[in-house]
Amino acid sequence: MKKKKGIVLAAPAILGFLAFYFIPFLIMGWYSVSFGMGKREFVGVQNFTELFQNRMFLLALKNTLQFTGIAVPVVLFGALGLSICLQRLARGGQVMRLALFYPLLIPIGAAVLGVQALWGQDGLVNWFLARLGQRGEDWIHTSAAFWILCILYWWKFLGYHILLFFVRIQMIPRPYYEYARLSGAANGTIFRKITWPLIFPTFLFNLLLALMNVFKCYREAFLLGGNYPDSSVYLLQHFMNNSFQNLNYQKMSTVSVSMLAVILATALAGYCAWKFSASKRND
Amino acid sequence: MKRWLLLGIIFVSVICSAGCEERTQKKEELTVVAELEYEVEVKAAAAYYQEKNPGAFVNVEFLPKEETTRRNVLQKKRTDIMSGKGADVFFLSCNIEIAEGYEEPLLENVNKSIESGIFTSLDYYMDQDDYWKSGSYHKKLLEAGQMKGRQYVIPLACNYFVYVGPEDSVIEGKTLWDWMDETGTSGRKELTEGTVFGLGIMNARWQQPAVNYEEKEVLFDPDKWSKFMLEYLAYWQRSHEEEAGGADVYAVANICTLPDQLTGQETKANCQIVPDLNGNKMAAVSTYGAVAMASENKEAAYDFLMLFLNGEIEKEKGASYAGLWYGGTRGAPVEENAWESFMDIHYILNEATRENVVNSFRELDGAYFPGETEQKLYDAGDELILPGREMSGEEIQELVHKAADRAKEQYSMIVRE
Repeated sequence: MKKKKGIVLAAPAILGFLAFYFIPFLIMGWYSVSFGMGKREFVGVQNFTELFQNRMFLLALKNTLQFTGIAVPVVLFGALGLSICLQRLARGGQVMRLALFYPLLIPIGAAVLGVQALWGQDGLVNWFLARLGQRGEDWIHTSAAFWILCILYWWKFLGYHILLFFVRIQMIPRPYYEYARLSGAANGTIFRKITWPLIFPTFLFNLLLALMNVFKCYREAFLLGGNYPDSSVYLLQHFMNNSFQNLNYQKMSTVSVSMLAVILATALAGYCAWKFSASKRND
Repeated sequence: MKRWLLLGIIFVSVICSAGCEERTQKKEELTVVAELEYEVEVKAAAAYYQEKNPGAFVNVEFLPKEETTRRNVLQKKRTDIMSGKGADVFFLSCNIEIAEGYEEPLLENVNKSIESGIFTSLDYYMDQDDYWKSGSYHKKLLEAGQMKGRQYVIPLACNYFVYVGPEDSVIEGKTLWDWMDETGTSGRKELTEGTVFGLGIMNARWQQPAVNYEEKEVLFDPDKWSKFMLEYLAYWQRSHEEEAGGADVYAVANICTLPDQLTGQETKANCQIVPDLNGNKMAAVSTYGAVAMASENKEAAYDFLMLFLNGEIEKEKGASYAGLWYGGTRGAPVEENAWESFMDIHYILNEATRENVVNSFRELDGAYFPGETEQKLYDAGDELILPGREMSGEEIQELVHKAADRAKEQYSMIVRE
């Protein structure tokens, strides 16, 4: 009876998933192997072949991976380090947390204006450079745009991750640490043996959020550089958005299917690794 | 559990299939999507079509001008087109870089849209249509709307820059370099003064076509553009040192803005198309028409499209319905026969002048679809040319190179995408 009730209660969500995600995804799958509008023609793997020969797609993929590879570890380990430091802060901890969390509440438009005020042609950085007798640049339209985007990402999401780590670390019972200290454990050992194992699930959760936020950063990149920004910040979403502008549904679908395949493969690899390590531990 | 899941799937399938109802469009029903500026002409064509084809119904959807409404309508229209039910025929326009304000187009890049498979190939219908055998359409303009030798888009109006001056003031140069040498070093200050402004505002056309979409190749050479811009700025400086009153006699202007020097019965004016740095004489497409790949009435859609070229409506309703170039300042005709009407309504009355104007059209080597890159290049060039700037020679050089490099990068991103 309980089971049936559960199914009834879950039915709207399941139906919603089927109607708005699963069936559209199947349609998208068809679009990725066909060409045209209206009556579509089956073209096999041609769309995939063309996609992986498309230099802009490869550039977008490289940039997105590079951005993820740099922005995510820095934000996660930075947030972890700062949240540990904040635990030890005797006074002003709350103000500090609020100050770090605040950027998340600022609208994107305002943040982008701030970036332009700093790194634009007439921005503060150029003003300082002019004082030093150096010539400025429109940094947003140079390869420096990549680092500007990274800084924007760190500034925006660091406080968010700090908050999540901070709360989890606070939940670790104090006696664990006291006992470890009494036993003569050093800070590094305490972190490795107590803090890290206990916050690891939170770390994974943060990792997931950080990865999702990397993809959300497209809005900032778009507002800073438009459809065709400097090639260093041309991301996968630029490729998708421009394909949408040109009404190239097959290209968009092919990218989506490829991305899903990569995500599923990664998840499967992770699951296998976890299973393997679990079986080793049991042995 | 399994029963519930099965029921759920059946329920969803029923709902979905209810949404995907069979297209019950009548055979003669046509949906036309057009820019609002063509409202009069397209409505007249729709009425004419319905009159000639009893039982046919033409549903015309105009794209609004107001920015926010337009953006929303465009988004919806794009989604409709991608799902295969947007329209049968399109009458759309491209932005002219010198016009004020950039209006978001339905299709950002026409060539890329052709690649996406939005439009149907018109070759089959064109082969059967006598108009293309005997009509006066400038065939070289058609190439702009082709891909892999097949015609997808038909330019319906175009614009290009012309030099206008007294009848005997012929400029011999083959390229824009030669032209600038001739007008800038001729010793005739009036000629220099009259032409300098126009040569500058066509900076986005100094090298066209800038891109070969089929070969995925960028033809725009930033070094060439920069070098010419720097020369031009010096030329501009020289021409402004003293006023000679040449602007009343000579001009380089877009054919659509119809310089005063061309109008009137008595004026015998020379009118020559201005070549680009490579000697190409290209027109920018202002208006184009196409039939959707998803259309179920392709033949009827093609017939409707051709109403703006084959002169049927003009015969019935008068010169005001000669084409989508009529009345506006966005485009000139793409077929020679229509130039008579074009010149009549714009008061180009002198026979010798008229012949020179038509000759400028005949000399066209081809056409291209202008887009956002041209707009940005024009804006960058405009900033440099604007008088009153206080920059050192080094700073100007840097800005010129930067503008050219950015254009090159954008072109190459577009073409490789």
